[in-house]
Amino acid sequence: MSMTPEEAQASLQAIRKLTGQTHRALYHGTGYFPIIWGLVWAGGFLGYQYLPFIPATLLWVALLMVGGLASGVVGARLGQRVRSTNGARIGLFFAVLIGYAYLWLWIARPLSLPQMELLLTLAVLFGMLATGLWLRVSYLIVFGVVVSALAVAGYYALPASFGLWMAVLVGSAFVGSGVYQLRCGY
Amino acid sequence: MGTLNELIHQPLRLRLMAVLVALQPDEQVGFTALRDLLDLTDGNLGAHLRKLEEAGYIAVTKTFVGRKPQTYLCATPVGRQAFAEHVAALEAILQAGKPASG
Repeated sequence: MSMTPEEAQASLQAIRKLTGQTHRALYHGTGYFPIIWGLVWAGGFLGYQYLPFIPATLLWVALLMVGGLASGVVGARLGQRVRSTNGARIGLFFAVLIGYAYLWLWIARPLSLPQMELLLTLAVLFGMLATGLWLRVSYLIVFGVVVSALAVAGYYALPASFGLWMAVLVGSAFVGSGVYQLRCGY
Repeated sequence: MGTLNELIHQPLRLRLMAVLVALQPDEQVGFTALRDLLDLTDGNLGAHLRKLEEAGYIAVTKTFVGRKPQTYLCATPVGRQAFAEHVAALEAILQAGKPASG
């Protein structure tokens, strides 16, 4: 079997083109996850900012259920194209992380509501950072670090508007991340 | 320098392997998604997949999602290595700037 440099170049170009097409076609739609959760967080934190404690908590619970349901629908659709053994492990990791975060909050009580909101937010962002390190996804690492720093800054600099800060910051960061993923095909 | 792989060299199988190698090692692509991406018929895709499977370059998993049968495919470590060697051979030919055989 012989091949000219022109044929080799054509083959290499075909491979490069298909690699890009593969990412765009098969991973398109994963960006819906951060968009869903960005809207959930924005709604939840706005409720925390402007509603009394019990309605705000009920709103959080309702939004979490809607977010979980929507994620399940998106996940089922994406799973028909590409499925990953890591997907289940990442889901389990986040479930364990949130469980531990609630345990730590319970041990550290009494905590103020803003403290609890910030610590839970940081737990989720830590999970994103760890997932980025694990899967070598640089944008998840940057996202985790930058949004964590901004969340802590808002907690100390804007205590009276912390819920609004988190709604705008975390909500828009998640939604922006999702839009970026949809545009880039990841 | 790697050698050209006769099985992967075939244009359609080259495209197939390029797609499968682009996935993460823990990921599998659905048969339908792969067929649509490469714009192939079921029969044509199936024939080339069988050849790659016989060579141990890909793994085929058949499962059910609900009541619907689904087939998922991924490149094996052997397939990834063979593809990497084929790409290295292509790059070597390009760099050498002269026809080569493998």
